[in-house]
Amino acid sequence: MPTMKGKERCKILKDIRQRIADENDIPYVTSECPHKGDCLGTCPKCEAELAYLEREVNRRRSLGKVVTVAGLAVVTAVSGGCVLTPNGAGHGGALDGDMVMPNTQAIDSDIAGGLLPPDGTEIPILGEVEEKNTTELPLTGDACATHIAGVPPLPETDVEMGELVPDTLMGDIAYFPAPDMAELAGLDADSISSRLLSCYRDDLRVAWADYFVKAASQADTFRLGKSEKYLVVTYDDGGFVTRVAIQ
Amino acid sequence: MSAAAKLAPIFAIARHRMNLDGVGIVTLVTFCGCPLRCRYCINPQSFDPKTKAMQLTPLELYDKVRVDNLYFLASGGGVTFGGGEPLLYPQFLKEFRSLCPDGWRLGVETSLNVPWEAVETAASCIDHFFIDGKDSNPAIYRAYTGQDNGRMLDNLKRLAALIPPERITVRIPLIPYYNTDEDRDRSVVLYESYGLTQFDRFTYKIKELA
Repeated sequence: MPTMKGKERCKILKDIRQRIADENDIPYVTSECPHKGDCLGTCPKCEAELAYLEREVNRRRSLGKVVTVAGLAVVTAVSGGCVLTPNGAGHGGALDGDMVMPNTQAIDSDIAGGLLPPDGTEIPILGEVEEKNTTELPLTGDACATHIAGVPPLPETDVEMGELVPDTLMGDIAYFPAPDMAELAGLDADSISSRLLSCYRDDLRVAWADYFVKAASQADTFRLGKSEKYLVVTYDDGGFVTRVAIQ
Repeated sequence: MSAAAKLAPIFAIARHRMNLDGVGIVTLVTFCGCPLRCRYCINPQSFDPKTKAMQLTPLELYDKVRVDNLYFLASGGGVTFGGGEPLLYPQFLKEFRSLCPDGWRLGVETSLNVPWEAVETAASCIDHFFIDGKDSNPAIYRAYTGQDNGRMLDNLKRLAALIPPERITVRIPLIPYYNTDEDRDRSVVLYESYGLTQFDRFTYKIKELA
């Protein structure tokens, strides 16, 4: 069986990403790869799409939604390469026939580059998610805390917050409405200091509630403690947020 | 974590391998070090002292490979360990398993020519063993690898008794200038007597020897 070409690999991986997105109602727009010639089968754009899907899957899981990923694809070996078949068709990857020629280049050297963008590089926003159903989200700080496990005490200062949030954030930033919307509705947005209410990544889930800002399509920037990385969040009229991925 | 499990020398991490090292999309992690010196070794850099290896803890390795979590889960794939000889690091494998999501399949590509305790530890945390049996004939095995195969055969017999046969695939290579199809048939008969059922017959294709 000849070694698979990068473009073939890329197509299979892209198809899997699309299936994951479709199965879980994740907004996902991708495009045909314009690259010509050999490649490893992945690139920074593909890596960013994968990271976005991972975050969205985790977000849905944290909200108690059913997530379907396992077994969505079966990769089957055929003459000249591999194909993606619908789950249940094809067969597993038992090797048969002649082995790929052994040589010292049989092992790819190290992980493909572009796993994560360099510090300071913005990831293109992919499929901004707007949560309309606020009943799925707790509306108070306490409810946020009980919804997500392992909640540390509320940070007192931005410095403390910075110490909790890693320098390279691996998850979405989301704002949850605070309990008393009416009290804050009349306040000038510029005079309201908002703090990070919730963030999550695979191995760290931190949730705490603070202020609520109600604004119509207002964007704002926040400094994340000592890391000084910025995220941009927009708000809808319902007080919830449009999430933006940042790394 | 014990000092033995703390770090392992890894010289390559190859992502997005398909139907080469197990079912689905697999990341192959290759360790340095091997008790054998096979004449047509596919990865001689695994025992070359000049090879630059990454010294990684199980957590550091997990952090590197987890990027493909969705592909693993969607395709039934995961991480396969090779080398070199991955069963030189059984505690590392066990620790790594404890970090992985349940949906990841872990495999090893091994000669099985290691202490039994290492095999037993691996059996508790590895989903599938791909065992390169070379040849069951002791003379052929020694000529090709430079080592005896008594320990390997004993381990194979014990492993076959320990875990279901569907978790073991024994590779039966036709090794140019070392064995024949008749030798391979004899190996299969022996392995079948151990209760093994899954075999992968293939032919080493080698560059012309200088």
